[in-house]
Amino acid sequence: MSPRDLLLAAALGAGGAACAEPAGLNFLLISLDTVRPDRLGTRDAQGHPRTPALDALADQSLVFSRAFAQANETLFSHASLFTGSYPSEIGPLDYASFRLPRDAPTLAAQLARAGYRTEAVVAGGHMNVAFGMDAGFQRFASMHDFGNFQQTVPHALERLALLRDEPRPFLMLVHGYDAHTPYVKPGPLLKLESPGYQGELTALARDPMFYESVCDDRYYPGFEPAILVGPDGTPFPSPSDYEELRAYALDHPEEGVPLSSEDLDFLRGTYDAALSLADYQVGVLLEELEALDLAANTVVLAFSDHGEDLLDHGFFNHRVSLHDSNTAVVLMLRGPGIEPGLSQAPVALTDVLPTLLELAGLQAAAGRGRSLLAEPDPQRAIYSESALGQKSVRTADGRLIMPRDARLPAGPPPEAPPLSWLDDDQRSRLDWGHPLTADLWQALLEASP
Amino acid sequence: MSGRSLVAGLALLLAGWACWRVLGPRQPQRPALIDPLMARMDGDGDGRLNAQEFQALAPAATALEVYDLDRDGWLEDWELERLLLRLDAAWFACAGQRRNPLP
Repeated sequence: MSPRDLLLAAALGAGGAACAEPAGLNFLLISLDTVRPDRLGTRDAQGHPRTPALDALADQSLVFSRAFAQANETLFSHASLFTGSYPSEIGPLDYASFRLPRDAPTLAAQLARAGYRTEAVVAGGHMNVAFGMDAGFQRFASMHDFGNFQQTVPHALERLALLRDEPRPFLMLVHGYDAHTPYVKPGPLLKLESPGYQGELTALARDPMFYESVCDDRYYPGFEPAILVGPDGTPFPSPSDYEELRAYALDHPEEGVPLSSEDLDFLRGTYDAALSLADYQVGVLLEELEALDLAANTVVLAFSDHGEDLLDHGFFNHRVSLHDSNTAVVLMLRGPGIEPGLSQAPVALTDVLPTLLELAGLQAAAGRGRSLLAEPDPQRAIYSESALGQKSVRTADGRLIMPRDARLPAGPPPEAPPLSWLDDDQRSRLDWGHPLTADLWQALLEASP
Repeated sequence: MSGRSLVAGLALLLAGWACWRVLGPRQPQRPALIDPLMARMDGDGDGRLNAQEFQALAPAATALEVYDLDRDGWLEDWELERLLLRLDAAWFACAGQRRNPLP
């Protein structure tokens, strides 16, 4: 019996991965919207841990240090995780038309069919029935438009107390936009990372549209993002706004209000402070899971749907590129029989569906993912795509990003090296003739749908 | 129910709420979670925030009194916990936060 089989046998109390009856494990999915994995496990200037609850969860979990999302936006990334498909296999990455079909074979739908109770407590925004994000959930509660765990965790606790008494196992998704713009949070948490900051951004940074007007280290108050309208009438800025903002910045240099290093530290600090708020609420959720006597029989999967550029590539957002800053995600799995540890092989959010179905004792249909409990594949290439038309692959060694409107011809890489396709840190150490870039090119060819 | 009874009932509820604010439990329910956060905020290490410590962290327009439930001039661990656990719709409203249209 392989280590994987032993693991599953221990987890399921059965002798194999696939069986007809649910194994009875509950699943608690914690969606940490916009959380960069490199911000977990860090300490503030005084040496205090910023995320003690998530760090403790990581200590008890199998942590995937090279996990990547298949898209850099909430809607497309969650839809991909729910279905185990690439977002473009569900529909064009376009907010006007993208919708998860009501009968999509999502993780929740498959578990519900197997007798699970499936519930979600989400923080609104694009986690929205108008986009079909409730597909497969028997109960889908949206607590606040672009809200935080402060809004969703209390309701999730109420639901968990009720689900404990259900005879059937459950899947519960709890979601929060804590680390999403605007990063500023209530009360004394605002300047948790920059005590005493007195700059103008304490007020400005409460406006989500402020972040859409920052390019590099300047703020362009005159820039007006183009606004599109979603299927439910929701207005939102166009993903192409960043290109337009950069062009605007070049055309209107006199309008740029410089942001000082204190301003930028404050802004980045509000992101970390928001993450600390999320961490606190996750701690409450996990403590309550223990108090309800559910922890021993519940698999906890904590993940983020995408990261966040904190001016890494010129903007405060995640929609602008597929670099690691936007696509590297948190992924950790805790549960009975799951040995805590660190896995460094590349994995994808599409792996969540087959993993949880396997733990539930169900057979997953063939999809883009593979079980996180399978033998790690250090050679694996992880595919991602964006609403801006970029495509990318990430291996353990590097990343290749194909810009929008570029063509991907079959065959070997072209002789002329489009160095801009290489991720920043690779560009400094590789040229197009390096074997890695050829490998990445081949991986992109093979991974593209 | 007469109007007078209704007013009396509301007054009783209000009085009960005021008593609870002053006399309610003053221990955090989850010290293991709140203590690390308080330690990060508490500059002088006395386990609570005075007005100066609070104001160094909070927006200028947010006064300690908003969260100082027992009106003793300090934000203590149980008050910080209350701040974090309650649905603070009022804060979101007074912060002037526009509806966030961003994905």
